[in-house]
Amino acid sequence: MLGLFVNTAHAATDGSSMAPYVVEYAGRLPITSTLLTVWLTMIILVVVAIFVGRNPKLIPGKIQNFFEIIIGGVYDYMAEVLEDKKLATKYFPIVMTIFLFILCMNWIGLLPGVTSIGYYDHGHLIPFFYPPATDLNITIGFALIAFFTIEFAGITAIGLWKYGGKFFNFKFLRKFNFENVLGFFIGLIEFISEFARLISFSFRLFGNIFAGKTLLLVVMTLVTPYLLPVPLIAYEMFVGFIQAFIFAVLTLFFIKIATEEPH
Amino acid sequence: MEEIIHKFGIDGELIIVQIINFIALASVLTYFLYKPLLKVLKDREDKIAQGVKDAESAKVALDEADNEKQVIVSAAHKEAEEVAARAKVYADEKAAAIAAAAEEKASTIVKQAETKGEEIKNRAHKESEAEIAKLAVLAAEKVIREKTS
Repeated sequence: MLGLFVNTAHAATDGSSMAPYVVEYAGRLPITSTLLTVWLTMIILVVVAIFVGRNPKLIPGKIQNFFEIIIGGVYDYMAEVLEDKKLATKYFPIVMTIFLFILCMNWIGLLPGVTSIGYYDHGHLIPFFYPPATDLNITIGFALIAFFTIEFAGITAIGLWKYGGKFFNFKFLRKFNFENVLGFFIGLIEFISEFARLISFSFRLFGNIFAGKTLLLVVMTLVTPYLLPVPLIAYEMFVGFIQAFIFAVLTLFFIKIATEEPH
Repeated sequence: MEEIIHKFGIDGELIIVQIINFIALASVLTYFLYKPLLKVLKDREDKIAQGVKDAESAKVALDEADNEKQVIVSAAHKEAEEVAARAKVYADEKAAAIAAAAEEKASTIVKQAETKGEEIKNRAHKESEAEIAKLAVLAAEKVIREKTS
């Protein structure tokens, strides 16, 4: 059974690799099906944004109201967490876009036709669209954005010297006691964990969506394509939301931690 | 490491493209969605705050007007009472004066009537005296005539 599972998972991603499908090459740049899906997501988001934000009214309609609740709610929550309206305004676009972008691309990845419409190349189906979070390039991109945002927030909020002092704590040179020596090692561990975030951010999103995709494929190809996948797709919608939420909220919390004065 | 990169199909260019994608989307959404909506939310908040403030000041103004009304009404009440009191005093005075004048007049009339009555009486007295004398003379004449005839 396990062997079967692994085989199917591999079959789902073309041979023995978890690399994304390449639809076409633009010069040296491979245009992958995940990248095409990302662009599709962006187009949809931009169209919706222009439609909603083009002419907002003081007395909102239903659609405007819906977006106001999301955007106003996230903004208020950020101001509450960061305890500073200026910081919230500064980092709101990044956190909000992380959430909307990941949420939409995860949900678009569940649409019928995604993964199944494409062309045959040497007997293999190359789909035009594929859930973007199953491509580690995409999730690493998000992780890098989050990482640099967090470090930038820390440096601009309390200064490079103080921020670096969080990780390279040389207090023990002036006063050698247990507490300061411990502080030095904790600082080093914190420094490593800053970079470990890159991996945890990217692989958490990748792993969850990849696993969901594989599970759906296994159920559809090995069990039945009728009815049974429906609750699973509902569950994958939930996972897609939760992953977008976690990514955004963790970015927010790490910004909060980075902007705090060291003690 | 090499194997991992190959297995996951990691490609630096694709990562950079994705970062550019993100920055582009974040900019566009900020311009078209976040800023207009956050501005509208802020405007609405201001408007509501202004409305609440206006309502409060209107209430204060109303209270003031109420107080003023109370003051004016009580002042008017007092004045009316004063006017009424003054009118009463005046009326009393006037009535007393009129009564006194009437009494005086009445007493003069009575006095005049008395004098006149006395006069009439005296005249009647005198007239009747003359009449009686005349009658007496006539009676005497009659008696004399009988006696002489």
